[in-house]
This record gives sequence, C-alpha cells and structure tokens, in this order.
Amino acid sequence: MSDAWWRGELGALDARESLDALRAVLVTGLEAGGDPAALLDAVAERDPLACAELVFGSRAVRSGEVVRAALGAVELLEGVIPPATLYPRLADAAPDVIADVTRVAVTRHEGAPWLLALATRDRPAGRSWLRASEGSEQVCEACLAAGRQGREGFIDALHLALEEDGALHALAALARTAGHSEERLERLVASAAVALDRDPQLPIVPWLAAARGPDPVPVARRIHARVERPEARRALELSGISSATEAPSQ
Amino acid sequence: MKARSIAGEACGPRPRVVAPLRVCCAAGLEGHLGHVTQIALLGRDGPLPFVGSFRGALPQSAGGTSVSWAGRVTSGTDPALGWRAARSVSAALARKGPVDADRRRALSILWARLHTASRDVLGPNLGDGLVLALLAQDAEGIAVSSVGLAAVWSLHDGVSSWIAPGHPMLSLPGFPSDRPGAVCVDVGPAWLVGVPHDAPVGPPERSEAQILGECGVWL
Repeated sequence: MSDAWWRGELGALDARESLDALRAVLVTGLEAGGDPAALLDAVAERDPLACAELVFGSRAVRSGEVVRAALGAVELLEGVIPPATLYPRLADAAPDVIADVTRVAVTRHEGAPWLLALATRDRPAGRSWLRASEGSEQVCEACLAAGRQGREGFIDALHLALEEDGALHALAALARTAGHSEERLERLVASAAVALDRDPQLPIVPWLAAARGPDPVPVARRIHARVERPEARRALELSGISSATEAPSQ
Repeated sequence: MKARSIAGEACGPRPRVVAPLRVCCAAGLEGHLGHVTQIALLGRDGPLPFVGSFRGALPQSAGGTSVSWAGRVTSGTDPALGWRAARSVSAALARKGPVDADRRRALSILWARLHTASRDVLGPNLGDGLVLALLAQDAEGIAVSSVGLAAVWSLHDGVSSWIAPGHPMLSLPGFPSDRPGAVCVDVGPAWLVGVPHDAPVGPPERSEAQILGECGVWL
C-alpha cells in the first residue's frame, strides 16, 4: 500500500483519518531519497487541509523537499488557507527553501502587502523577495522603508541585490538613503564596485545621478578606485566621470 | 514651448535693459557680502528624483566673471536617457569655456550656447520640459535667469523666498525662443534654489541642509 500511496494512488483513502499512516509513508520515502510530489499532490487533491497538516501542521514532516513538493499543489492549499497565512507557514516549516516559497508567492501575489511579513523570515530579510521580484522598484522601496524603520536585514538585502543581481533600483534606494553618512556611502561604493566587476555594462553612473543628485562624479570616482576589472574601470570612464563640466565645488 | 516673455516690471526701482537680454536690477532683494553664490534645483519626489538633472560651472574668466547652472531635461524616467540628455545640455553650456563678459552678457551668451545642444538626445519631448537656472557673477554682483521655474528660494542663515511665484522672470519650461529675462542684484545669498514649475512653491520649513539634499547637493 505504501508504494501505491507514494506514487499518489490513494484509492478510497480518507486522508484526514490516515494522517499518521501517510506521515510514515512520507518519512520512509524521503529517507529513501524519493520525491514526495506525487503523494502530496494526491493528498492535496483529496483533502488540502490534510496535506497542510503533513507539510506544516502538528504532524508535519518538516523538510525542504516536502515544502517544495507542496508548492506544486499550492493552488489547492490556497483554497483552504489564506495566502497571507499559508506562505509564512510554508517558510517556517523549511527556512532553507524560503527562496522557493517566496518565488511562488511573488509569482502568484505580486504586490500583496503580506509579502513583507514573509520577507522578514528570510536571512537577510528581504533577500528572496528582492530576487523573486527581480529587484523591482516597488520591492526595493519597500525594503528600504523597512530598513529605515529599523527592521534588521533589509538594507543588507538591498546591498546583496545590487552586488549579486545588479539590481539598479537597489542602487537607487541605497544611494538616496546614504545622505551624508560616510559609512553608508562607503558601503554603497563597495557594493557598486562588486556589481560592476560582475557586470561592467551596468549603468551605475546614470542611476547614481538619477537617485542621489546631478553630480555623481565624486562617488563614481570612488567606485572607479575600487573596481578590479579593467572593463569596469573603462565603462565608468566612458560614463563621463572625468567630465570637465562638473558641478561647482561644494 | 515658448517661454513667457518678461519686461522690467515689478523688478525693483532701477530696471535697466541690456539687449538682447532683458534685465532688471533689484535693490530690494536680500543679499550678503563675502561669499560666492551657488545655485541648485529642487529634485522631484519619488525613487529617482534627479533623472535628467544637471549642475555645472565654469572657471572664472580673465575678466572675473564666473557662471554656473542647475537644471533638468526630459520628463521621462529612464536614468540612462536622462543622463545622456543632461550631459548634452551641460556640454553645450560649457562648450566654449569660461564666459568673458559682464554678468548680464554672460547670461545672454549662455542662452545662446544652450541652443547648440543637440535636441535629438534630449528625450521624447526634445527638451520641451527643460528647466534651467543660470547664474553669473562678476565684481558688480550676480545675475540670474531661468526657464521653467515657479519660484526661487534663498538659503542664507535660513530659508526664504527670493523670487516669489508670479515674478516676471519666472516662465514655463522648455527651450526659450526669446532669451529669458534676468534679475540682477549687487550681492546674492549663499545658495539660490530653483523651484521647478511642477513643485510646491512655498518656502519650506526645513533646514538648509535638508533642502540641499532635496537638490541632490551633499555638502
């Protein structure tokens, strides 16, 4: 019977009445290195609440594989559990797959206000949200606002989005918020240099100018001094950082 | 878009006209000795407040006149396009180097230089949204001229209105078909802040540093 269940063939099974047995099959299958998707799909079709119980309820088998598999049946789960509750519970069940949970949540509910609460479970907070939204303006600004409110991690996530994904809206948010802070400015310079070394074609200078002010040259020169790849240095020079018509000295 | 023309009215007691630039010299505008006046332009609200914005200056000429400017071009939201457009305008203003003329003529020369800017790189509206404040200073004082401003604030030991809404120097945005008028004073404040036509015009209750930050100027 357990092999059939593992393949998703539940017959006339009452899933909610058989949770312990289903859990045992799930554990055995995972220990054997199997993919639980067929079983969880079948349980979700039969009884979404029973599926939720196995994924993050009191009888849950807490693992990344289980949560990933459950994401395949998320439409059914959303039918019985509000998304604002469902996705954080999925993330809590397996924090190591929060990126997958967030990606599905963003795909299905872009712009939902509860995504911020989901993002706070990430490390650093907001990282997967930024990545799943491809560094959108809206999400970068939400992360910036959360960071300004003192929520830990969101500013770190903006730096990572810039460094690893070349997220220009993250650059804009960080550039605006740097203000007079030398510490923030230095960190921005470091992150922008990393981003440029990854992708020398990133239009860093125009975005700096658009976000921070009409004279990006002083900051751009600091980035120039930090980049390692000659292509990145050349790209900055082509952006005009050695312009002869700079803003008046301040 | 044609800038509204101005005459010398409401510009103080001793209006003088220096062709081709209409100039009014105001004795009543508050001024301060012992410093160089700088100019800035308020940014927009939003995540990218300075798309298409530019500030620039040229070294003092042999005759002792210095010029500077602050402006923005293009109403789009693409930073790369805005950067290109802004640099085009700044490059046009700087093209022939320092301006060796008195402050009034210097403004006239800068307006003439502006028209050498290649308008096909000025964004989808070809520069029709141009906002620009020009400042010239010589031994006699400062002269200011603009397009697209709704007011000018003064930052000097506090924030105050320097040119109030409705003043004839103020005009609609865009490349001017006639050279805009100017205001001359013997001495200016530390900073003049241009308020674009689409921004709130009231003198704000904020610190000078905050306002300069809103201009993208980080001292």
